[in-house]
Amino acid sequence: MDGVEAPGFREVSAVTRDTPGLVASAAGVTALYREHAKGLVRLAVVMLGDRYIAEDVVHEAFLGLYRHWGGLSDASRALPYLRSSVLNGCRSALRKQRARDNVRAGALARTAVPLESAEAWALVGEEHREVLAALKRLPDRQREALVLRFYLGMSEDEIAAAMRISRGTVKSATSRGIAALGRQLKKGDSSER
Amino acid sequence: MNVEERLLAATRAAAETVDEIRELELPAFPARAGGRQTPPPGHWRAWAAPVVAAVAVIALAVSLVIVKEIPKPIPASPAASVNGVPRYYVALKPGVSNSSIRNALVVGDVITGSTLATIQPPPGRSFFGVTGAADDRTFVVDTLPVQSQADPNKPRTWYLLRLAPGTATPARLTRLALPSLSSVSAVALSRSGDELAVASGGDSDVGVGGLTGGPGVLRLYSVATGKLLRTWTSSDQFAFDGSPGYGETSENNGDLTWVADDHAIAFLSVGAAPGSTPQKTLRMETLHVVNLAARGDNLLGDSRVIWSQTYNPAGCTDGYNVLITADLKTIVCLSVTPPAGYPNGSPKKGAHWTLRWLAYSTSAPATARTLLTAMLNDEGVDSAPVPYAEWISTSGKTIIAEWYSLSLRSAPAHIHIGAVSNGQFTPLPIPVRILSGLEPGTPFGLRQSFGW
Repeated sequence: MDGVEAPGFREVSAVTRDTPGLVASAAGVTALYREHAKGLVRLAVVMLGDRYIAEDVVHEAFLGLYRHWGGLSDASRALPYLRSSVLNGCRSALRKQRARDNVRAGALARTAVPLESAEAWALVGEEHREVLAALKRLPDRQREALVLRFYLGMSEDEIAAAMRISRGTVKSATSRGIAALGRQLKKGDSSER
Repeated sequence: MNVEERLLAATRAAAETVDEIRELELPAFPARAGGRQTPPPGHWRAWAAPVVAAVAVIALAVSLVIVKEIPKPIPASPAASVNGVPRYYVALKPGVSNSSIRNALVVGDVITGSTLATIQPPPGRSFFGVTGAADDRTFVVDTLPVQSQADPNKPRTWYLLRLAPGTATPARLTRLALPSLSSVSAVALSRSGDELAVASGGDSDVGVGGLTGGPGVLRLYSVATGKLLRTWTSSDQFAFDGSPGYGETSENNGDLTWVADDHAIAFLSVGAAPGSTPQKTLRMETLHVVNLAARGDNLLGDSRVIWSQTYNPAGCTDGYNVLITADLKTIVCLSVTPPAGYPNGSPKKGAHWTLRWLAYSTSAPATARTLLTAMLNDEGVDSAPVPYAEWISTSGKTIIAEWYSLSLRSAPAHIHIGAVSNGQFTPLPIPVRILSGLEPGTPFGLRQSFGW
């Protein structure tokens, strides 16, 4: 586990909110971007399975921060703000993706293969692809709870806040998601034999 | 690898496909969506100031209403603030180093509000869980490897923490001979401090709660020698309550409790109860007691059920913690009622959550007494109420209650923690930084675990 970079977990060090003016806000947002954007794009890729939409979502989050820079009360809260914006952006993108899938129903109905470049996707490995495909097939609530819990390491209370559901529902969604994922993977394993 | 480990590995592998990302192109100056230009941030602040002030006034007014609804609040003197609450606590102090979680321990005094000691974890390790004996001086803590995010499936190592307030060495940490254990879901030190109960495993295929990785196991160890004294194993259709890793929040420590003068252990399990249709099941929480004097190693077959609940809007809300007194007579749980219309739409002005700490007698479980009622403003998107029953006295006459509104966008405005006794809420002087865990750079604000 050591050496794995967690998404955007480092302290905001390069920014001070007291620096006035546009130059400062641009510099501040740019510094945050350099430090955290990759981690946030990674989070969005896990949620969406699409590198390009993930980058768009993260860009939108940073642009939102830039727009509201003057209202930021504490620089150390910039990262939670961004992370929250990315999660919201992912939800919105998934809704749009589903709408597209519905339009294309029968032709390109929700495929297990994400809209990632084939080259990058090949690096993931067959075993992981199977898990990611199964993850994507889960109901939204279960998938999001699992990603927040296991990829981001969020606590149940934090997941409850992010998803706006109760702690009991977080527990249920997480455990049901794990159970469903396990069943799908077991099914996949046995069909390969 | 179990399912969780496969999920961790797959999500990380997907994330690592992202190497380079494109540069951020900011507009010439901040613009609203749709391209309309806005004044510079300083101007934004200028027009926003009166609005913020007005909102602050509204928030203050609502806060005053909330305080009024707490039964007879606010302390008299520090000495009066104890009410039978253990004087010393041990809490995790979340920290982050080089993108890795590395929790320290803080030993605090609820009479003076002072910190007796801060203990750094051994090299390469992070403190994760803590549980205390009845003498208020003996604690067992455990550690996990330092890592980028808490992974409770990693093996834990165990330490004894002894307090000696007022001496040159107020806290001393000693490695215990207990074996490394993984997939731990709850621990509890006996009231005597002689034995440690460890719950692990549990099968999530029941569809609710618990961990994957086979049957649930309750083990009993000697603290002095590390020797395994007893083992109880469940059938497959069983799960301990709690998400993976009790160290995440203190609630999971309450899932395992020594009772009846250390002659029995109470544990909380979750399972599925029939719902309105065969496809819809309800989350059911059940409190069992296993008697140490009795023979047998079947966790469920050799224990008795003393309380259970499914979703009940008028009673306990599932998913929050449940405490039981050492005399087995009283159970305390939480009732959480959301604002009207939740979770759809933006919160209306004055929308609030109602939090109640309820006490049930095990001999008359149908009737609840309300120990405390608190109202919490609904802060809208990315927020949730966080209530806990942290501790309960042997008689059940005093509890420690804690609550705040968790927001992913800002630090909590108020964190309430105090003793509730005879209808009075008496705040405890625990530093907010310990309560919230919101050290700069801490991911989100990992919450502490308390040992009392």
